Amino acid sequence: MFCLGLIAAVLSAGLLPPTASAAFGLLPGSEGFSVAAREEDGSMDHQAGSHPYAITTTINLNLAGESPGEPGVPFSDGDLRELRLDLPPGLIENASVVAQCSLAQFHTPRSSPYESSASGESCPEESQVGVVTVTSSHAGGPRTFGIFNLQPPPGALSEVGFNPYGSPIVFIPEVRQAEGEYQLSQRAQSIPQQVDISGLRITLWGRPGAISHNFERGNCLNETEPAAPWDNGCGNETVRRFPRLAYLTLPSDCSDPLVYGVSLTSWQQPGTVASRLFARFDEGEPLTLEGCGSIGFSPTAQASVVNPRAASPSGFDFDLDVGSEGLLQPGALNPTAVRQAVVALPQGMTINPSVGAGLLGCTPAQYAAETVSSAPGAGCPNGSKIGELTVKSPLVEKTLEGSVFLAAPFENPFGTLIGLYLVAKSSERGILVKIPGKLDADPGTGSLVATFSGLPQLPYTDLQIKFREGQRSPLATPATCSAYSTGIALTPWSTASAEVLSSSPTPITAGPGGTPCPSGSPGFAPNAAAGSINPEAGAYTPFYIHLTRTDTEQEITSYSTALPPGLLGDIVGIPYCSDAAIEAARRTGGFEEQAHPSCPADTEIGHTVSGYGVGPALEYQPGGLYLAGPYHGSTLSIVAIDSATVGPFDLGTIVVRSAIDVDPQTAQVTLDSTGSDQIPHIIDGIPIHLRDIRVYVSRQHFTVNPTSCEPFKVESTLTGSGAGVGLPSLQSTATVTSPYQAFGCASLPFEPQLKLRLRGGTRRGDFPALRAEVRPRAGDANIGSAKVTLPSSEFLEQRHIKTICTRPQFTAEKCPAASVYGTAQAFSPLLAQPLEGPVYLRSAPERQLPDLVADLHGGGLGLRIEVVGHIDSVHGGLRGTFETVPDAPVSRFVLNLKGGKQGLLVNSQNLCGAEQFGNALFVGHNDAGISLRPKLEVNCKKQKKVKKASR
Amino acid sequence: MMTMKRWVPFLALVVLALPACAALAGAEVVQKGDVRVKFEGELAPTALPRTGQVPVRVSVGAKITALKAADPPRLKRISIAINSAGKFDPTALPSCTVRDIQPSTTQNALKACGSSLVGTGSFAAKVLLPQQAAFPAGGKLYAFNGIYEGRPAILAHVYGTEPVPTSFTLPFVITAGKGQLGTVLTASLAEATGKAGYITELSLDLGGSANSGRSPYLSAGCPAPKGFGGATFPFAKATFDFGSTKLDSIISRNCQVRG
Repeated sequence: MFCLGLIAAVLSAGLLPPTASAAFGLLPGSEGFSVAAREEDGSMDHQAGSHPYAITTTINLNLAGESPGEPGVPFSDGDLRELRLDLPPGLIENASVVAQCSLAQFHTPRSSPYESSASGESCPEESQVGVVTVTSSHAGGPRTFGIFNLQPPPGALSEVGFNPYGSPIVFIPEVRQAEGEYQLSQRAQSIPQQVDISGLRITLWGRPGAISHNFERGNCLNETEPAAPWDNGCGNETVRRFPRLAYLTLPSDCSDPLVYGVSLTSWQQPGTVASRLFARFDEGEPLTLEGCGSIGFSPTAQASVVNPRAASPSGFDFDLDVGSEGLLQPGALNPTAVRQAVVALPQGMTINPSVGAGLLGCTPAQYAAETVSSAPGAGCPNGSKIGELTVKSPLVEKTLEGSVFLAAPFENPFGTLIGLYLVAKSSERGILVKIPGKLDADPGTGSLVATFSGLPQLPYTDLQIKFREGQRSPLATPATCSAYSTGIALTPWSTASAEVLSSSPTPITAGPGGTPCPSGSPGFAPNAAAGSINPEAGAYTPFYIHLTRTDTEQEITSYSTALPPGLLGDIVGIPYCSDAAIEAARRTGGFEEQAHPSCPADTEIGHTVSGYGVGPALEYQPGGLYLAGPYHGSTLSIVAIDSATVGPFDLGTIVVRSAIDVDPQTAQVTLDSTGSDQIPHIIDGIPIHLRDIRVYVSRQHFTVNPTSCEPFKVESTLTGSGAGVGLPSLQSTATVTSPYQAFGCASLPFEPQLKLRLRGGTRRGDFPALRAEVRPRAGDANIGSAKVTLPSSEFLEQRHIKTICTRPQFTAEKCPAASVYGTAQAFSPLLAQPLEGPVYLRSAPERQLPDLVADLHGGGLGLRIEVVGHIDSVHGGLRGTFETVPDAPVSRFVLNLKGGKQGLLVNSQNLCGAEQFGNALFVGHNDAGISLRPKLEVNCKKQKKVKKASR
Repeated sequence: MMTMKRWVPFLALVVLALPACAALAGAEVVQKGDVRVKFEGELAPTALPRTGQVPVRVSVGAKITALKAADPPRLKRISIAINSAGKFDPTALPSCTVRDIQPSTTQNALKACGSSLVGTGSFAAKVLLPQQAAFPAGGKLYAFNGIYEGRPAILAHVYGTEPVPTSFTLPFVITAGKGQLGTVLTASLAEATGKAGYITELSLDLGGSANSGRSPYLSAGCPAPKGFGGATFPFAKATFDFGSTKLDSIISRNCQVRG
């Protein structure tokens, strides 16, 4: 839109400096260029939306002097070659109401019974739309000719022309978009040089059929003295009656003055353009149209979802009927056009991420390349098309057709994530309408509001926009049935206060796929599948978890998973993705993350595939799964980094870091939701509708199967958010399990070895130290339980049990030092460093004696594993029973119990008298058992030396 | 080493002057505060010579209960004074030391000191380890003639396998004093059982058979005055020391003059 201040400043002087050379150009001021819309009585027409009696444009060129050999006949300083008249936005020339003059008629010289006509045409009277007075170097002074509505050539909306002295001059209209508004220009090219025009006074009739024009019509026009028409029957209304329809219509915008423009070039200096703007002033103020308040504005709009089923992909139709009553009636006011349309889609209707597959964004350059003649895809790519539109206008016979394109995110006139381009064209009529619109998504709910501003002030009766339907529809319907409605606000050009608000029913009447309507708060019953790709017990294998939900269920906001016992990861040699890299990933764009993952490749342990959207077709995005360090109190974590890209939309990344807990008793691995990031439900106003989560722990030689073939399960607990996403009161949880079972346990060997050795005194009453060393073989089933019985030579020395660690103390890792009775070490091929720690006597109220507990830490991870042994006796032998040993590969386990004053063992006989043997029963996680009878190794050399010495 | 080869004459009048409340047979129950102790003892045979001594068997036993608390208080020391008419002769049998039998199984203890065996008995206790629920423990007790800290003693050896194999030995040191109940057996329990053991029952049945040509380990006569066919006399007095609480119990028994 032109700036009112600029107009006032530039035009208040009444003239604009010509930009052409001093030789060729317009005369100064309104003498050189002026326009006037007048009523029949000659007064100025200021009524917005009215049909003026005539609009007269006056153009006078600089004069160079008299023509050679023709004194008193001036000629212009340069021969007019091109002339373009820019009409104010909203000024309509409706050629459809006037008959057309054929090309042949236009080029057949007029034969008049009244005079020797100088007009080179013989167009029918009913095609005349005005007169033009031409001032040229032709003898006889200025001469007036008829202007006719011509049969337009292909690619032109209309054409008007006159044929002075047999030199045809035609104006072809162009629809131009300038400053966001559509303007009509009339452009004449290749004006015959021989006409030698120095001035034009073009009068277009607002109502060509008016009887008052009969005297200037056809042969009735007195070309040399138009004010004195040939009266021989010209005024016979009965014979010469023409359709009384409006040809010209003034804009309906009263906010800005009407500004006309002219630009012209000469044959002599074709590269030099002379131009001028004109606006009328009243006491120094530019005049605007008046009476906008009296213009009618009663558009009707309707919106509907194509698929009225809840939580489903759906197209969306929008119809706008402005009406054209008054456009054709000379005495009526033309209804104002819609300046802005704001459409608030039903609450809960959101962008459907499923649309993303193959979707592109139309860049500004591509949008600019959309021309009236551009082929499909030559401008905005076909992949950016998300809908279609049609426009019916009284100006053209055929319906305009066009497309709705998705604008490139942020690279659009609004700088917004979601932008739309409406492009309608008619190459046949040379019409191109391009309207950008923005789509605002509520960041909390995803509700959509579409805004189209600066709609053209062109008459149209029916605008239909249809967003694509089908599985990849750009929109998703609300999750529940209801009598939804679409809010529509239409603002006219005439006055903003005349905004029309309406509500179009947009009901959702069925569930997805035609099922009954989901009622109440959405349910939440997701499904899960999990398993090892290779189920062989004890083998390395990829592992997967597949979680899904249906469209009508709540959104997944978090999940935790308890893996089956014994399903472990070999993390030796795998570095952590650093906290800094993870934080960087949170700030990285999705495409950038895809191209250059934030976490180093050597930290990757698998990948994810996440499916977003509604309906049968989802948008699947790959992501990475990485090993990371301590998080939320856990010593280890994994982080899934997904690129949140939906078609051209780059919503950044979805980083979900999950703390890994390892059960101290069973070494069972759990991804705990309380120590994990929430899965975002909505990003930048686009609900991601996460419906399908696939996690593949696929790093080679990473995941190890259990050596137990017991039927286990993978238990996942998911949190869903109801209609009020983020409201804890509406959240629900669901636990889903997937059976898990390894196979081939029977083929696993199981032959662990045990060594028992006493150190210290060997005589009765001595308190020896014990070293028990278990050596499982690589490739064996893991030890599930163990019972180790010492020979009856070893009693428990109860008097040395002075301090016992309580359970709370143990849990808090605050056992008294005096409760330490030994140490233990466990070496695992899955850990870079051994687990090691003290051995406590820990209270066991449920048993007679306290437990012997190895509190193992480390492994390079800060893991904590407790190995619990119950103490009792069998056949007089002191027995330690380790009922539950984690199903984890261990290459060596060493238990050391102190001797001496802190020793729990006391010899009940001389150990060097006879060899002592213990008993052990190991049972593998594969249920294989093995009994051992390890010799109790003692060092009797010292005692023998003593005996020898005593002898 | 203390020798106890002289007779300690019974004082019949004193015997007759004992309170009538003293039990003539069966058990003596004493109570103080929350602690109740049932003490009993027997002498066999009861027909004894007025002069001279014959081998006898002496049985004593005690049962400790708590009236209100779940567990009885911890008995720290016990002493049993036996009528001076009875005579212990530690020289009658070989002597053992604690070191010979502790720790060991019963089998090994008998193997080491079987010739010193002077009796058997039983033992019951509650074991209360820190942070653990109390659990019962007990077993058969074997008494050996022995020496403890240079003094004659009866070494009461206990071996049990439940819940774990363990053994301990209670050394009852024998001292001879003056007076009617001058032969005293004293044992300090804390040292033997540790802090975890809470004795609830203890019985001893003493009286070894004499080796040929040697005097019996335990012998007695009937302290009946002349003209009386029998006598009632204070048989034994037990003192139970729980630390803050100490209870005494005396039981009397009868004997008839034989021959």
